[in-house]
Amino acid sequence: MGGPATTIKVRKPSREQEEIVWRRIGDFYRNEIQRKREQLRKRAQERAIEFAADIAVNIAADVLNIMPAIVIGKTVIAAYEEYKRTKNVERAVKAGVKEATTTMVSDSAATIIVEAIGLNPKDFTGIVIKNALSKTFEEIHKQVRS
Amino acid sequence: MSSTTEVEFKEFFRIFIKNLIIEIINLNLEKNTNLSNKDKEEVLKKVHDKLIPVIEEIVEELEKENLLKPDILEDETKVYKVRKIIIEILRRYFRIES
Repeated sequence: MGGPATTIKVRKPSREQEEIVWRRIGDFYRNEIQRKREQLRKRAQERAIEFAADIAVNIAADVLNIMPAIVIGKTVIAAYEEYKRTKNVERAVKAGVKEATTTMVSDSAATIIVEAIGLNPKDFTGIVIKNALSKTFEEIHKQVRS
Repeated sequence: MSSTTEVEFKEFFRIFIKNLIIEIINLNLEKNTNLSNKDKEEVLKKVHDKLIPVIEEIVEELEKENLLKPDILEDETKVYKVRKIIIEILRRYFRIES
């Protein structure tokens, strides 16, 4: 204690050194903004998926609520009975689709419901019912095999 | 189980309802949204997870009430009972208009 004060000499950084520091700061913020942007995009995407899933679940619930007695019941029974009778998947699917189509034609309520959920009746019987029946038989065959 | 014909109506109905819902959602997403295929898969997975317990409960309840038989459509009272059970279960899970 009491000795001479130490003097620290600070050299002014050169222009190049300053530029390096600013570039590093710039890089940091650029990365930070990029990271936040990515985070927001991801969150928006997750929300969009959640939103779409909520709508989809509600559509499905409405379908289960309104459709069974009109189309679903008759379709399932026609396909099941045809398979029991012929043991032919193709014929069973055809029978189900035919029953669904007949019901759609004769029952305007069924058509209205299908259109209300954003589909056209032709797609409903020709794509939705057909695929659902085919996949059901596929799954049942898999279960039987295992 | 030795052949598909021996699969009970209950099992056939349960799998069909699940596939029907998935197909409806699939086509709906295809026609009415512009989500990527990956996002659509994600949506379908979420729908699947949310709906499977509901479908299971509906099928169990219908079976308990002896309503899962191919001949129920011939009886108006039974059809009414089926609808009542389905609506009651759906109301517990979702906001359903009567």
